Amino acid sequence: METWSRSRGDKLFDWTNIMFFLLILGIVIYPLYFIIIASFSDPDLVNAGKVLLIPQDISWIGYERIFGDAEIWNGYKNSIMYTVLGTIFRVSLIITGGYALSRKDLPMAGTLMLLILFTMFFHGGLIPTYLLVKELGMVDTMWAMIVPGAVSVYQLIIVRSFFQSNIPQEMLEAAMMDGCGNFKFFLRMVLPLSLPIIAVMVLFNAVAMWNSYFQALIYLNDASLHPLQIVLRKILIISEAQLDLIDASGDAAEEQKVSELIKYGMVVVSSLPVLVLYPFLQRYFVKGVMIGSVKG
Amino acid sequence: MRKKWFVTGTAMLVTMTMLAAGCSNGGNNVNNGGNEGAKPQESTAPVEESIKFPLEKPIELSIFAATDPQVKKDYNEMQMFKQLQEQTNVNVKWTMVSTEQLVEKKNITIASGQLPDAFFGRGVLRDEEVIKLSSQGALIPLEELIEEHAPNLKKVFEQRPEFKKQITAPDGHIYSLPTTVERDFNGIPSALFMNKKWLDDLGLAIPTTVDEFYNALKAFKENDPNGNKKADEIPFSFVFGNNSQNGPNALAGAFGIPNDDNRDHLYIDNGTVKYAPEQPEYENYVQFMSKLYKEGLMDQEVFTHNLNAYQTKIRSEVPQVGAFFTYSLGSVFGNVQNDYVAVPPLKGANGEQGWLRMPVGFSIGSFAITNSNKNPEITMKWIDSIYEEKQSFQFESGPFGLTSKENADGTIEKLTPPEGVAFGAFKHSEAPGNGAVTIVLQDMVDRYIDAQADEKRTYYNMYDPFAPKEILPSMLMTTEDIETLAPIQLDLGGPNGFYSSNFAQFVMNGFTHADWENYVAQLKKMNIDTYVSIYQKYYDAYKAK
Repeated sequence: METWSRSRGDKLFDWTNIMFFLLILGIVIYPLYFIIIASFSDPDLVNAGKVLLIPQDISWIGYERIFGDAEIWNGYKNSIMYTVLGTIFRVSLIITGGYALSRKDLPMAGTLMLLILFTMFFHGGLIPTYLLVKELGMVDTMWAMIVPGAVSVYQLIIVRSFFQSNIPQEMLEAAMMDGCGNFKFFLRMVLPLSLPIIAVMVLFNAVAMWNSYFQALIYLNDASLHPLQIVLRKILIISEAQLDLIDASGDAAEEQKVSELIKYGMVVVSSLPVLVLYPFLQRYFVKGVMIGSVKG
Repeated sequence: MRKKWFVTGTAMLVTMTMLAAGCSNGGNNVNNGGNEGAKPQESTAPVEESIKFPLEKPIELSIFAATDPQVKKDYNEMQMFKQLQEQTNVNVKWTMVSTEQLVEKKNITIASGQLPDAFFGRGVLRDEEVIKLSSQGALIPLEELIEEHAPNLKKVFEQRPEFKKQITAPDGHIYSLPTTVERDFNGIPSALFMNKKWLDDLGLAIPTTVDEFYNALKAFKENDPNGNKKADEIPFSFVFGNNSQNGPNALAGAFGIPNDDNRDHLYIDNGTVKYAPEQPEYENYVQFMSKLYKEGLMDQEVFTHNLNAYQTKIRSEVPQVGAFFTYSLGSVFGNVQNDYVAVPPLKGANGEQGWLRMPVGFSIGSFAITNSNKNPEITMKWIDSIYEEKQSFQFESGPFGLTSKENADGTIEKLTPPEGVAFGAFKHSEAPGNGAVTIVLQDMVDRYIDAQADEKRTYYNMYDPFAPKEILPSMLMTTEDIETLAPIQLDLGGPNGFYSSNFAQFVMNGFTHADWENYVAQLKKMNIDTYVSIYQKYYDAYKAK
């Protein structure tokens, strides 16, 4: 491959480059790595700053507690359910909506868009929204996690721009000439051509649904409906010792150590699914966003 | 990013909306629910005496409960509440909100105007919420209901008249019922521990004065008492900040400050409320701390390390820390270590001696009845049955026979949880535990066999004679005064407030008398006198009650 010999300057540049990016890589990866090793090292050593690269005094009690806790499993189950259903629901709305808005023959397109854009800048506020959701009977049901706020205007615009620039008017006309209807055109032509944007929307929404926390906090009282993020917060809070109780001691000192392990372990456990999902969708991710934004 | 911004943004919006909506919605409640709530109170007056548990016809209450995060099942499925239901025939529809979600859920409930019949749980309403909701008419006054339907509570008030004073709002009514576990020994939150082995090895006695304490620390630093040939000894450590158990506040006593309460720094001197950090004696205390810091006799991380890091230092395998403040040895080590002993209050240059005293945990807003409640009398009688001595005990610590058992001699013995179950989870399996509404008086606390409490009792007995007799109790204030106090407290208190930042700066960089005078002048400009006078007003009123 190397048909010309590289000058010393080139080599020096390459080396500096490699070192520099390795350093950055290290800075980015280390915190993640630290959390992983801290989740099974002795918390006292972690606090004393003695666990830096190698896990020490390995103990799996944190993970034993995490996986032995029915609430966490239930939270996991709920989170997966909300993520899958919510992503399907949201992405189908955004894609169909975005496509409709991208069509030049949509009547009142400008007014519609204006109404939609309006919600990007003004909304009813939390209490009225809560009351609405309550009146719709969605409080304390899984729908409260899925329906409210399903369409993000920002994403709708990205999708619309994608369609506007990637699905030429001529294509529609040609298809119509061959006797293709609107539905058929959308399903057979538009969808296969827009896989990148769909992948991006799936990733956007899946990550958002997985991490969603505030909606659950506001709308869900029933603990059996709580997603993982709520359970996680609960666990992080338990560890604080209170002294004005009949038996304040319990096994406080020991419990405190275990709770440190649980905290780190929970971070690992709860971010695992997203970490696994990312590499597969990542190449669409950058591409899709660029398509949407640059040509929009 | 966007999402995060959105969440913070909404959170702020919530708070702001709350402020606005709280007023208007609350106002409506008076009109909507007020009538309904008031009716039964008057019309059923003659029937009241005939309330007998269990009720012939069951009623249902909807109750908003603040629950401990360790609670895993519905209150109705817990043994304690099942028993209560059988005793009373009152069915409860619980809205259970774990404490970490309390603020948001409570604000939404209140602002949306859909009030429950009652609020339940340790600290479910903050003091200012009790005042605000009651001034809007959303909470009903309870004193008559207590008089007629709460024999257990009345008995408590006879034994502890100060409880009644503390829960009485400035307008003279009682709007909420308290929760407290009278662990009297918690009144002395901190103890000073020193490494006895190091002292012995160095041929030193346990210090009795500030100077001897200083000399001991110096010896710890210079002589490598842990024998590992490294200068890794930390002669003296504590956690600075609002931390009564691990903070150094008790040390101010040796400089003539009777009480350096870490929350508001107020103490009472012959009936006069005073702000400790503006007293001339406080200057000497800070000067001494500065000397320790500069000579390396004090942990250089006292202002930055957190509790976990601090306890890790103390627990270090090769002992590192010579002297430290904490609640008890058991709370840090899990057992009573032999190397460390508690040091009696040090004497100052003029023989001053003192120790920190704090109020025993008392939560004013733990139970309240709203104006949408159609059965306030039954509700009062229902909650009163929880206030029965032994019932209270079990609601907090778990039912007898499960988590503890009553011995023939009246003592209560702790039972160990089954293998693999944490103490906290065990305690919360059949009772609301930390989220319970209870009053457990000292007598009951003393009957509980608890080695860690016994350890703490020895420190209590040691320091108690030196701690001030009178301290500021928790008191309800008017909204107006709360609003006057809020900005002053914001300026002074908190980890970055005027007090903390100056204390840290003085200790770390040293200071002259001119600096001190400057600082006191600045305090005056920050309305410290108003701050003190408001507390003085409430303290006087409290004493007059």
